Amino acid sequence: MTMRTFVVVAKQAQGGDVAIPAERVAAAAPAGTATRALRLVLSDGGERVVEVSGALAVRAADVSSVCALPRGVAERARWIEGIVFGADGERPLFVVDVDRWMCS
Amino acid sequence: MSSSSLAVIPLKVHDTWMAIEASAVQEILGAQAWVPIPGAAAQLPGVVPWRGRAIAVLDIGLVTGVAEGLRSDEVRRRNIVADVEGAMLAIPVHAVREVRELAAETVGAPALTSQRYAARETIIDGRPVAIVDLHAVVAELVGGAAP
Repeated sequence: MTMRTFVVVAKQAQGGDVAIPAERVAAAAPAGTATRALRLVLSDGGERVVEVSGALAVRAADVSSVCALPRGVAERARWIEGIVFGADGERPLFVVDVDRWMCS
Repeated sequence: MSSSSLAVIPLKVHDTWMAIEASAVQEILGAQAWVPIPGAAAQLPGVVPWRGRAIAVLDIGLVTGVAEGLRSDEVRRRNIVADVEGAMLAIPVHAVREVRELAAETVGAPALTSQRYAARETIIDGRPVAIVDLHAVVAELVGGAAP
């Protein structure tokens, strides 16, 4: 699993590249008013900026808790590296392959 | 089970009873929320956690043509976990009955049922019940056997 770097800025403070609404990149992101811009660094050094809605937080997950998607499902969602099922009541996390996400 | 009999598990989706071969069934779970996967096929719309891994949800109602697709917030009372040639599936259903041993002469080609992926049918509790061929479902939706 590749470690990515990212920078979160207020949407209004985002300069430079035009941000892409996350819901336009992948259906995982619910449509809504974007409140943050997430600057992603791709493996080739390129950068993309994605507008996201809602709050952003860093959540640590043990690598061993990342479950690969099963056959029949993974082929249709190649931009998802895996899923972390939360404890009771906790929302699951999709672990996103940023390079594939941007190319999907 | 003798070679002249077939063990099946009857299951119900909405108002329709059908059956699957009992040999594929690993476990029967209670109600369980599932996680929709964006872009997934409607027949395999998401995943559930099972024994430390993610397994695919099979919408057997949609696959067999007896119901519309699972809603993303729909949780059914039972989930059948089946191993079909290495492909693990969670099958949300409304009800499950105990295993039935069917004599070979009570199983035949469908005459009273018309569900997709059901090449056989039988009578259980006076009702015609289609026997769904999960191998055919997996071959079409998932592909070949697991490595």
